[in-house]
Amino acid sequence: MWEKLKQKYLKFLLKQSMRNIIYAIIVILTLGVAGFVGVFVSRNHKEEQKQTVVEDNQELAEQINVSMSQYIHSMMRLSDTLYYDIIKNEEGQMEPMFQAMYDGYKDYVESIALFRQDGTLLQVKPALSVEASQDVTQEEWFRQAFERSENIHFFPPQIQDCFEKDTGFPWVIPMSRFVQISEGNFVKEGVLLINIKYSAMSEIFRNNNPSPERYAFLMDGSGRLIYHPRHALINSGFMEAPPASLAAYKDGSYETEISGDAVFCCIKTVGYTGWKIVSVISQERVQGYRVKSTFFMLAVICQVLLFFMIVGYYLSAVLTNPIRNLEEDVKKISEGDLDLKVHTSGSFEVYHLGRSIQKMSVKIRQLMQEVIREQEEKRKSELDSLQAQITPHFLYNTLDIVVWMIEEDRKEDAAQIVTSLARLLRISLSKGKNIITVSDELEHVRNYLTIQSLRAKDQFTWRIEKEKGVDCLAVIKLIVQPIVENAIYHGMEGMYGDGEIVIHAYREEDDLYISVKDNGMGMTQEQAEALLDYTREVKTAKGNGLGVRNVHERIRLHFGEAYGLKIISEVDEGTEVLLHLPAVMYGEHEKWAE
Amino acid sequence: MGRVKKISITLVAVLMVVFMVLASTNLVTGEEQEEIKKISVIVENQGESGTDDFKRGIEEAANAKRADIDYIEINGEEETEKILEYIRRERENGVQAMILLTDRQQTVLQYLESGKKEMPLIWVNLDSEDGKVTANITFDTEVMAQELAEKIQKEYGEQAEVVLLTNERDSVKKLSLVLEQEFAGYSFAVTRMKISRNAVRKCLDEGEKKKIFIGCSADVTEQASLFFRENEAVLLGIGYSDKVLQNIREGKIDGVMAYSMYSIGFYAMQSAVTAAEKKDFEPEIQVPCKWITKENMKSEYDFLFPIY
Repeated sequence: MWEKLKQKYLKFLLKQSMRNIIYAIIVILTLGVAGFVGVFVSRNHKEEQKQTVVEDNQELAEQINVSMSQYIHSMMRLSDTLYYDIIKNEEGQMEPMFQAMYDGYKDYVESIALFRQDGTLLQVKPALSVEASQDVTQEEWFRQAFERSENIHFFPPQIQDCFEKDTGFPWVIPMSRFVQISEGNFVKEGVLLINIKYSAMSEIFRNNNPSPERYAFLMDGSGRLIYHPRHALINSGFMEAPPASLAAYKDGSYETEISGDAVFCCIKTVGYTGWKIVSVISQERVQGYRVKSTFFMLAVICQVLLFFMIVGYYLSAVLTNPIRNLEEDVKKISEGDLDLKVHTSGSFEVYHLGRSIQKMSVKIRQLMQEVIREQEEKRKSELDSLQAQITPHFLYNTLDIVVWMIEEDRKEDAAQIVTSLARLLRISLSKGKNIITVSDELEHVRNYLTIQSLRAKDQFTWRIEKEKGVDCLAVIKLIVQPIVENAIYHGMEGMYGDGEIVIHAYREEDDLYISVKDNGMGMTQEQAEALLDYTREVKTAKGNGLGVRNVHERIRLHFGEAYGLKIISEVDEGTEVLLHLPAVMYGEHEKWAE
Repeated sequence: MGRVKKISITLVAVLMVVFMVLASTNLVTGEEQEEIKKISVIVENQGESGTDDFKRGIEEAANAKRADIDYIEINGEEETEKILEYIRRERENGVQAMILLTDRQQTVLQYLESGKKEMPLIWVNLDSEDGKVTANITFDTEVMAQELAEKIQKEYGEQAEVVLLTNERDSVKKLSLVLEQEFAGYSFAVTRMKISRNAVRKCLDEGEKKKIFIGCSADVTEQASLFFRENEAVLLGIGYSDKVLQNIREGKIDGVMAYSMYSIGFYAMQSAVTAAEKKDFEPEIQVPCKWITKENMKSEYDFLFPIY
């Protein structure tokens, strides 16, 4: 399966352009890195946020703890002063000293009272009397003082109702201790009760409770609430009380649930009393921050991604455009445009690649031209050599005829043949030139025909006609003679005196035509076409048509495909071979290769 | 730029904007930037106790509900015009709801009706005019009366004569009428009387039946407690004060039906805020009453004295 996927992936990849691949790589890398960094930073941030919240909470709890401890210690000092400095020592001056102490602490203390062991009131400030129906010995603060006489005891808030009082039922925090009272020579046992004002203690918390989502409360060791900012709501049933189990927690930070809300809470134990300060902050707000923080991080990732997508687009373009230009140039070169100027802009490598391709293109063009030239030269030399083959054969025959004529005492005919032969050879050589005038070519043909007609002894008649103005036109050497030769050997066969060969040279605008017409046996159209077709072999009794083909190819080689031979023939009617050349003045023919 | 690239860049840009919006608003977190409601509380202090508790309940609820309160306490002796002036000023200040604790119901309602601006009105008292107030917060008079009647019936039966003590306040008179109606089905006789020493003494001396005096407000009960000698009569009360409770402890008052002004204040503010937010709320809220005697008073301190 992996192989299949890999194959599919590679197939897909191969269809993509380099630009798209670079762009995709940049985008994926950016997404990966930004995502990784974003997640990492976000997690760290959340942890730090949580840590900050926990630390804030701890700080709040610590702050309150310090204030509470100071407050508690100040109350304990009051209790100690009352006991050690007054109750134990100052029997006679107890009342004024009690008054003085109360006056000094009345902002924090509701009342100070001293009870005997039997519950009778010995001293109380402010001036109050015990509520008649009240038996203070049954009160928890009284019993605890005796049960654990070494400690100072603190109790949860309660209504001060043991005294008759005209001014309400205040909430107080009773603080009691066992005391030994000096009465005369006797030392009696009793209880010192200090009713701390609840409002004074709750002020410590109110000053440090910033909001409903962040607050602190106080509970005793058994989970009873001592202070809560919503104490009245809880007592009235409008709100759920915090779980008493919190009192069992050790000092530290926790995540828990209070009144149905998920919260962070920090617990601190107040020294001596064992009370627990619980500072609370709602997780909902922190959760809200976390969610927003996550969205912010996602927005930043998107921002970075967007930036790099745009940068990637332009960067991939800058990198790949030179290569694309080069690719297009190579495509054009492969389609044959070797003259194209290859793009070389771009990086160092692209520049060198472009230059190399340019050089390669030039080299290819040169090589192609060289090959063409070589091919042409080869063909020319083949044709030339072929052409050269034709002439010696005629020479041998003509010399044989001269010898025969001398032997037959036909000296004038022999002299005429020799003279014509000399002229023919002179023109054949033409000082090595390949291009001669029409006049010379026709003169060559005339000499040839003179020789042939003498040889053939009036087997045929001939005439050469030329229009005005064609004499100085340029023609390739020895193109008419092979045609005439063909006309004599193929056309005049069986023509005993009736044969006629007419050579007509004329000009039509920019074209030169030399027509060789005979009234001989003619040939079929197929034979005529085969004569000019290099790929078809023509075998006749008197040759293989190379001479005609040679002329045709030589004309085309020199002047182009538009020129050459055209054979019009009809069986038993005769044949016309039309040589078509461009009408170029001799002297202006240098553009054709010699 | 290829189509795919265009689409992907556009998509990323849109996502970026969406995330920025979500990060800077509360659309997803659901936190509502609660508008702070402006609520006006006008309390006519007739010397009744429980005003502090009522105020405390108002404040606690305002704190929990993010409301800004304008608490105006007016003297019961102040002229009606002055009360109306306070109300007018509060309306002009743009309060979103008003809580009224006053006896001058008719006057206030007529005045408010004449105003152009509609505003939720929370009435703290008995028998509000139906349809004219948004919500009415009081204690459960029917249940309270029944409980009281049951106790009297059980204790004294037809040997008792219940005397409902009132004063000049309309609310107290109304309560006495309600009690009279509720007591009608029982075997004991019921009369109503405006409190004064002479009237009470005269009533006490008249007739053979056991006199059960019921103070229809805490101050009436308080006043009545001064008129009797020890065990001379049975004195009960509706509502409480520190003095009344002290008298219960001292045996001068046998018991009272207590209701929590703290709870009433809390519910009143809760209703005002809900009404200002144009949400559904309970138009009639009756807080429960508790029978307080010397024996059970201590156990009901949390109820009687909201801690703060």
